[in-house]
Amino acid sequence: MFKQYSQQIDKTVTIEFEGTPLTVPATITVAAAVIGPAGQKHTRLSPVNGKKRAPYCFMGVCHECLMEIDGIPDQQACIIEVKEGMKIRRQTSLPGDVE
Amino acid sequence: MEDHNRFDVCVIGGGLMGSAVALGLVRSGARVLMVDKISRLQTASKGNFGLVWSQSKGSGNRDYSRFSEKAVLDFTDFALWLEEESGIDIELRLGAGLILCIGDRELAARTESIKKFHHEAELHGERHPSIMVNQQEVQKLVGKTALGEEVSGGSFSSVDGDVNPLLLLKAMRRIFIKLGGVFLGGCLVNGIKRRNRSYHLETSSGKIVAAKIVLAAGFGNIPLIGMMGEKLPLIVQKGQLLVTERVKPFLSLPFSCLRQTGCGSVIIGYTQENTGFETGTTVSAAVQLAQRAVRIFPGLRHIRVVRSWASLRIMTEDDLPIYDEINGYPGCYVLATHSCVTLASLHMSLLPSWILGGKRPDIIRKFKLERFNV
Repeated sequence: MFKQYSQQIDKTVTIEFEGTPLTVPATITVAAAVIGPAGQKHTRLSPVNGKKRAPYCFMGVCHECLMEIDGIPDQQACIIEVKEGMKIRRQTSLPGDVE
Repeated sequence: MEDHNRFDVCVIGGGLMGSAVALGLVRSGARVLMVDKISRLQTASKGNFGLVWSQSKGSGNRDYSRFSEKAVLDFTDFALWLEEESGIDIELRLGAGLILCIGDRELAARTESIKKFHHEAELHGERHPSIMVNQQEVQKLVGKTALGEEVSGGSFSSVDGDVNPLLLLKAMRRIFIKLGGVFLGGCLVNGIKRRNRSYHLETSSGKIVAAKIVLAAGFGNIPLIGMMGEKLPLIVQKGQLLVTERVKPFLSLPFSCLRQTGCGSVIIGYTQENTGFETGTTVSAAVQLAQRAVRIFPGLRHIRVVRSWASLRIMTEDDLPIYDEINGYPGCYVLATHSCVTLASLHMSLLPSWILGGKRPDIIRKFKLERFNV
């Protein structure tokens, strides 16, 4: 579904997705890394119905792409750039229920 | 625009007001053009809280109280029709709505207010569909989610509820187009002239001719009505709200200050500020809203806020709507009010027949411009 528009990659960084190291182009976003190089189809599960969700707008508006980045939940993966050593997890559980 | 330059009605404004009226007009068989400019500020149609609400509306004015109640009662059938025609589930929940009180003072004030609503309804041989509930009763309504210790009770309505306001807008616009309405986005009206019993509009998209026009552009109505030498006495009120991360459903009924949306977010409202035409958000408002939310549901302290926004309510001096035909401009109607989510059902069902030449509905007979003496 997504294609990288430039084959020329000057610089890479190594990140961790769900514990697995992954070398990706520097300057791309977390969402791009997860959907592109990591080849994943979803970034979180809906707390309402458990369904798989993925980035939708890719521009910081829809909040569908929220992921856990370096231990902090609810990060907008589509507007955060990858960094060396960054640890990324899918948001599959919540920090705490209201109940 | 060559093929479409003559319409029965041109509705200026494509928000909740314009879309409801335009939809009702096109459903009545009129040829309708709806134009919408790109707004510089967050509009009420997009930034609102999404309540379908009557219990707190029209204190001291039974006409408006009755009007709001009818709008809510009509909303079920309205939503069914919208969903059937548009294929969009607008996430309507009706039949339970709560205004929550913290502490004795708020509870006493709310009790007084509800008493007044009941009294005013009884004077007309009618009933007001709300009751006071105590802390235990609120807990029972909420279910197992723990309420804060300071929660003292509230008022409960068995007719109120909430809806997804963006999907409501989308559904109305979609059906408008499906039924043959023409929508023109990004169109700014720069001039209005009446000639040969028609209105000639100069717009950023060219000339538009329509037999009648409806001004439904929110605050945009002020410059529009100015083109006819009239004034519109609207008051700007800013409301800020917070949106949390999505969490498991824990609250099945809306509170006037807090509700959980279909996707799991908690929306926490709202401020009432008089800061003019600006939609900035402030830390002080965020703190105030978040603190109150945590006093209501202590469990919310673990939940993160992911965004906040502000939008502008369209108010009048007496908080009542304006539905009127402009003096000296037959066939030119001005519509302006807050609460266009709640009132959408009536805006669609009541206003079009009047605009198309029928009798002014009795229920809106008092909502005229002349009461402001402008």
